[in-house]
Amino acid sequence: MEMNAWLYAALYSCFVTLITLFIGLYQSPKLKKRGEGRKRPSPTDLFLVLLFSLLGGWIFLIYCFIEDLNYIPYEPPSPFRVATEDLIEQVSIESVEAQSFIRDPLGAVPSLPFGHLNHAWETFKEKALPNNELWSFKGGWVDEFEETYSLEGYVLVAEDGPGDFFFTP
Amino acid sequence: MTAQYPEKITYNDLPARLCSQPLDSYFDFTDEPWPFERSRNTALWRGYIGTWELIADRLYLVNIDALSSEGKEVFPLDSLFPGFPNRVFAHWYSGTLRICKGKQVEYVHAGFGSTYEDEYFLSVEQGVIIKTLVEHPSVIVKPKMQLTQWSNLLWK
Repeated sequence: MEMNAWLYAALYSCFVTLITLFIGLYQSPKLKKRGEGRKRPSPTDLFLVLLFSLLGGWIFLIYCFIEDLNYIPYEPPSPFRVATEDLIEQVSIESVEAQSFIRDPLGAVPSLPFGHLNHAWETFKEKALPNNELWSFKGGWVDEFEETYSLEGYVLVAEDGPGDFFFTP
Repeated sequence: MTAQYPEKITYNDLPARLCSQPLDSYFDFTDEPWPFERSRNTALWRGYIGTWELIADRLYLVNIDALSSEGKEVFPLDSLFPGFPNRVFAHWYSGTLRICKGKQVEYVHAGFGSTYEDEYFLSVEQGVIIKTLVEHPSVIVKPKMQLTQWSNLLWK
């Protein structure tokens, strides 16, 4: 519960107090004129009504406070990154491209490395720096629904470890 | 969540419902922005309906209908796959296709949760079908209905 919720709770308690006092003290003018006004509640009655009204509200607030202590804020899963232990073997761009052509009897895929994913592969290659090594990888990732995915592809490895990667189907 | 319109597919030379979204995984491999308008229709959160074909155990995308401010319109295939206006081999897709035929057995107001008389589960590896499993949910649902009938008799 945010701190401003406590403020609202305090305002609510004041509102309850005012309503209780109004109910306890107000008498219809018409009834009063006819002598049928109800008996004015005693201070004890008013106090008991007020006490139970406020107590009920505060018991709820105490419950909320205890729930807040156990509250675990949602943390989205961290994005996938290739770990060093996911690396399989060092490869070359030429060898990767040589075995990445997709064949289709109906010709519904371009004769380019990785077929319809060629532009993604070209974008990945542009990120390579002269001192980068190209490695194949296979790793796992768990999403926010705790579903595990096995992901593989190629990754650019620099001195500080694996960096940009390209997934393969 | 509202029940979603299925994709379209031709299976065994007949039109059927495809309760899977193979095109979605294409965007997992690329950095391309999502080209369809989402949220225009709560029964079509993805913003498009793809039409697919299975030819010689291979999965092909042949058409995309997308939602726009003017309603449904054909989304040119070659705007996503340059040079391929008529048919695209879905080699990026590996997973399970769920094809549904026949009458609806049970309506579920969420995603592709509804069940149909005949359901086919096709395991796909890089666009190629490797295994098919057939289920008939109407057979599974019937025993539950029989239990209800028995309890009604007991109360009588």
